Amino acid sequence: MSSPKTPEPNDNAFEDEKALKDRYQQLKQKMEAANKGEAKEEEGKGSAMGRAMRMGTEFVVAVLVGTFIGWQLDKWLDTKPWLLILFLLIGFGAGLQNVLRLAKQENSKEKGPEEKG
Amino acid sequence: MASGNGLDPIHQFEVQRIFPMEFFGVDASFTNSSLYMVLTLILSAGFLIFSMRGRALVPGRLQSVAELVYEFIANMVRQILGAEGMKFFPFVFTLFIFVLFANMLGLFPLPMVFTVTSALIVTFALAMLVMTVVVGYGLYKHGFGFFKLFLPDVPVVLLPILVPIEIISFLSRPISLSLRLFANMLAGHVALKVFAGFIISLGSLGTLGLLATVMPFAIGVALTALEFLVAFLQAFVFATLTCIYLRDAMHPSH
Repeated sequence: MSSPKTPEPNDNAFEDEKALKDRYQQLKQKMEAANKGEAKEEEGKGSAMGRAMRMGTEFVVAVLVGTFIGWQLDKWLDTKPWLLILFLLIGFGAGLQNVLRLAKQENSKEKGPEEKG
Repeated sequence: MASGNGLDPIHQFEVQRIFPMEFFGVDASFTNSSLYMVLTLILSAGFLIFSMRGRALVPGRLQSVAELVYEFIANMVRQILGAEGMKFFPFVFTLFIFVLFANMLGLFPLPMVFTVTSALIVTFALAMLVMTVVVGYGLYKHGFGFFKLFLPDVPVVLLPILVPIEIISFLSRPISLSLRLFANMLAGHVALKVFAGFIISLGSLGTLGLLATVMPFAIGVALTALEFLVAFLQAFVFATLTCIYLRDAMHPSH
């Protein structure tokens, strides 16, 4: 009775240790996940508005720059209003290009955390 | 954000001459804007020199703040530009510190305080400086190869459409760079001023009004905290975008 019983507390201790280790590991993972989530959320919160603003300004500014160049060229070459229209459209394209490039950057940032850009 | 002129939220952005000067018909007066630029310079340089004067192996409080800022920007530059891009570190760091201190200085609740970066011409000058460095370095390093920046990887047929688009996209950079910093600082300071103004106008409405001043006051406190965040964030964004544009100068082909 005693001989099979002796290893049991040992076994128990072993099991306990293992369970403790498991629990510790789980807790560690949980904490890491929580920390990560928090950090990510904070980052997202801080810059979501900023990102939206950035995309907006990039787009509008490109259209404005295009229009301005067209307007000045029209004045210079006396071709009102054709260059204005042409450069307005090109500016529109440039704005889209800016926004697409930004979005691409954001995507790559999400994929690889070390590639910040 | 108090100024001499009561409730006018725009008054704080007025550039006033302190020492009128004129060179060859060009108005080169020393204004409150210049004064705050000089203050920014003195404070930022003074802070860095003073905090690093011990050069202790185990840094004290001030020294660790300075080292933290240094590491922060150095890591950012290394991540975006790589190790060879560290030659631009002094440039990026100077821009960051200047913008950061100018933004922060503008938040001091003193009368007649002026935010240098809330003037479009200042931020535009900074952005043009960045673009000059980008174009200058690009041309110096790659010669005409720099213009590959405007040649996207597409079939030749599409080039007549896409090259103007790329050029305008490039030209819009300094403007969006300067506009972002300027608009953020301007909007934040106007909002602060407007809510502070509510306190005064509500306070003049008697007891009930005085009680109600708690609300704009709370918003004002929250906005001030937000403004500190924005001041830092915009300085960082400015530095990050500078790095991204510099990367184009170093590797112009897409």
